Amino acid sequence: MLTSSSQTHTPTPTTAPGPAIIAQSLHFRFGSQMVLRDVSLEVFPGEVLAIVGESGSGKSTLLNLLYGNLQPCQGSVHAIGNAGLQPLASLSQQTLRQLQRSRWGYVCQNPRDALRMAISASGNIIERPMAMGLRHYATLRQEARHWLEKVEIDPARLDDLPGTFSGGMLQRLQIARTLISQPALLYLDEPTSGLDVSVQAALLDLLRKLVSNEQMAVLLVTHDLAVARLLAQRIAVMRRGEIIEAGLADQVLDDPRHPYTQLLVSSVLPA
Amino acid sequence: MDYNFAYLDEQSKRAIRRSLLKAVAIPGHQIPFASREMPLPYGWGTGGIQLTAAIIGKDDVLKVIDQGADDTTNAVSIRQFFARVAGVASTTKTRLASIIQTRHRIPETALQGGQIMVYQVPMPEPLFKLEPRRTETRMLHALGDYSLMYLQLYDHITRYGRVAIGYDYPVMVHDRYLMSPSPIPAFDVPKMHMSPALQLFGAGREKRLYAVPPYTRVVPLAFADYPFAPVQAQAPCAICGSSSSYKDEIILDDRGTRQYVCSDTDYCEQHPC
Repeated sequence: MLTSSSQTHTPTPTTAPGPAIIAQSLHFRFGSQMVLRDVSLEVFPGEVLAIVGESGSGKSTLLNLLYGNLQPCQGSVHAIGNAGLQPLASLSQQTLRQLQRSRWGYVCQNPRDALRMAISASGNIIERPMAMGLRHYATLRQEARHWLEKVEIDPARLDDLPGTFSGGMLQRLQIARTLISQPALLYLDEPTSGLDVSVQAALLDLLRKLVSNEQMAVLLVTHDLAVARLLAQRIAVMRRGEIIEAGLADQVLDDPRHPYTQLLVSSVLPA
Repeated sequence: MDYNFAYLDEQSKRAIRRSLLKAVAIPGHQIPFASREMPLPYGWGTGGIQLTAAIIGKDDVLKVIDQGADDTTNAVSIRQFFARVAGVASTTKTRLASIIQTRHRIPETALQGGQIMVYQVPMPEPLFKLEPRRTETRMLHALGDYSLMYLQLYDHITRYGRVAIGYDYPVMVHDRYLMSPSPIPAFDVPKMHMSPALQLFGAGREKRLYAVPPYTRVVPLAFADYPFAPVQAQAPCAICGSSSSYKDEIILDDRGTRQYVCSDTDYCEQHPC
């Protein structure tokens, strides 16, 4: 469904003009429970696609399929790897893990799930370059400081444990730790929920800056339409495992066609 | 009461030897084995004793050391155990031994080809403090993903200015598997590298064994700008005067006066004053 709308959308020209990820008619079930039905989408470099919908609509499951953590019952996912687009199903577990920690990045809702709470903030940030074989302490340290500044955390906190950080800072730390490998493909799973509004705004601003600078392809899962409007160029609305409407963000939010999208848009509390 | 030669029955010894062959074929890789109940508690060297029992023959000469000493309780008991159940000769001389079972040390005297070191290992999994799930550590070993351990080293340098791991220093074996060298001091780790002796490791409670075949690369983890640098007592041995051996620190009185003596008693006796 989304493929049809993406034909009208011309991606900004980049060095890699093709899409960074393509999903074709994905089906997924947990036991007898159908979770996803015929979901197709593609995201281009430098583009943010927001996947919105109520809880239980299959957003996170879709993200996990696209990230390679789950395998679809039917359909295929091609994502950008070391040599162009690669079908996820054909990747060995080793290659998949390697891609997940270098070319792709996943920012989850609760930073405590992703961070190593017993390791200092700088250690958390430099895990990816170290996993890729960088074994020079001074260089690693410099990188950590650089990225801490980039996500606007005071460099004096470099060696503090994440446990001493506030919720917003933890999320920034997770973003720094993910973006340090300059991923081509970024998965954001409700990155700002659970944060208070002013922190959310600052974090979204930061994310938008980083994403547009690096020409990343971003998949953003959120239930917050305001977040989607702020970050995304395109929006896909999910309901009961299907994408029921997809298109340019302004188009979907200002002129929703599907009754469910209309309900979703109208149920946003006025600011 | 009569026991089978070397206490274990022949089938048990055979099963252990079979696992040992596999361990030698995959240096540094932990192999599960059917660890038997032994007539001493876990933590006293059940893994090492089973390995020794599986490989010992009538012509072997056994040396047992505990913290470098031949005369400590654990060493004496295990030596007596094998004297009783196998009737083999024992020695305290590193040169004369064909099998050396050890806890916490590698002898100072260089090992020779044909000798076998048997290490008693409490925890075979080097990543266990960093990753509690065994299924996950197995996966990390399979993928050769040891960034967790490097993260630990990074944090040590950040907090203490150096890698503050005094014993059980993580090593890479044959450029493939991360291995716990058993709780020997970091000082002893270089002796494992390219050693002419066969090195076997047994963890009885954890039911794992692993091996380092002769002339295998054993390289301690380090950063390019923070190379492996084990700490060592600066004073010479108070008994034999050696300045190159690993020392025990002995507190002599209530005022904190201390003395350093060789931890390897055999080496200390032979070393000229």
